[in-house]
Amino acid sequence: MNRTARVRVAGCIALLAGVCGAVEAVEPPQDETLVGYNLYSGGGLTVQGPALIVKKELLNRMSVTAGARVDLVSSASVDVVTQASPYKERRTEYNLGGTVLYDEVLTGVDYIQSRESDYTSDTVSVRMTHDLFDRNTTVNLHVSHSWDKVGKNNDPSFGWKDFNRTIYAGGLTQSLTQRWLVQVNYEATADSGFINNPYRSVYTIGGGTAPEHYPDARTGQAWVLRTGYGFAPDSTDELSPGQRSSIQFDYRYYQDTFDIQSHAARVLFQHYVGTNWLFGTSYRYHRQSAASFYGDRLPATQLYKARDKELSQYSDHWIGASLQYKPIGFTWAGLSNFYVELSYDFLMYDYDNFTDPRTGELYSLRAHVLHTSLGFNY
Amino acid sequence: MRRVPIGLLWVMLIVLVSAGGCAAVKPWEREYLADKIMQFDPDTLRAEWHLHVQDVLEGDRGGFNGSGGGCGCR
Repeated sequence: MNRTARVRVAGCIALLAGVCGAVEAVEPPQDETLVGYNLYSGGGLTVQGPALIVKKELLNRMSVTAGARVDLVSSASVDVVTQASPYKERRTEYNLGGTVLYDEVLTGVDYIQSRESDYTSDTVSVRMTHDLFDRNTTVNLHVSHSWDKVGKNNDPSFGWKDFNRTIYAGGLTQSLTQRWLVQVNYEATADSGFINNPYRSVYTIGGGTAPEHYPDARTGQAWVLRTGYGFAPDSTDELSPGQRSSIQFDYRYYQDTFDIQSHAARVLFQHYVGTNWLFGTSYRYHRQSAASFYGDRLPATQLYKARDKELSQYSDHWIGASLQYKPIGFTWAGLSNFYVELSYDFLMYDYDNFTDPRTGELYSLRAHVLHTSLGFNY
Repeated sequence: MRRVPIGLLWVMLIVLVSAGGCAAVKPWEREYLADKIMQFDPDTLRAEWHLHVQDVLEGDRGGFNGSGGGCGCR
């Protein structure tokens, strides 16, 4: 993971707070434990580590959720090997949240803390979910704020710079038929403070390098449309799990004040094999334009400068498959609803205006993403 | 890349909100909708991990915060 990416990841933790609430309608979570292991490998970067979530219901209308995740980073990415030395890093994240169900409104508060040697982040988020129209419509609102600090290893004179992020998000999910769901989401993000990377330099026209320099404010907007349709091969209404399948489609449009625009679309097909196995396969396409101040080489006199490949113009493809095993009726030591899941995605990123300084050719990246998890109720 | 008209996106949102009052799936008809395969991002840890990777590799973000679509059978 390059340094700017780590800044972005820590800053986006608030978004994950929203994802934690994404799977629930107006229902407090059941007593549940999830244990997972994550792996990313590609482009000279390896990130791996465990993740844990524990949910506990209280008094039939409240719940608490606690989680932890560790990312062990080993980086020799194109940025690192051309501008610095390979490094190893450890990021630790803890989160604690609670929800209360009152008068058909589920209200939740979450706190997330992330720590690494040159970046700290503290996020507080509030979310509300409300069912309407005989539970055919679910409205979701989410606000979060992150207080981050950016440091620079081996440079005490840099100190700690402030970076803040506020997210306002809302969404609506609608049951259109007994088998058809549609969801629309909107999210606005406002960043301020030290946004750019304290380590990376840009290449200047005529030779030489200069430090990256970003504007100190950025706002972005995302619109998302998601829909899912379920069907059975025999077209009957019998609800035999072994015959159920579903197809989902997501689309996101994004634009921000860096002049980045993007389109992302994903299709996911899931199918039960027998009653215990669930197979899934997915494809995602994403295309993004470059930030207005990005350049492979830039004039030294230009005020704002970036050579972060995540701000360049590129397109990417994700091809994935997953398999879940859930033995129906199996219990052990008072625990129930066991399931084991394994997923794999192959990633292909091709950059239009980011060259590899080692070869002088346009850069491309191939990566593997793995996730496995064990879940059960207690 | 050409900008998408923001007004069009808001019209889509308003149409969907309006559709909310028209649908009439009864609670006893929601068994299929309650199935895991009908949920958006049912696997929390996997969804978090994939968003994490996308945040690292991509310059855009956000939008996948919605809720709902569950069984409504409490």
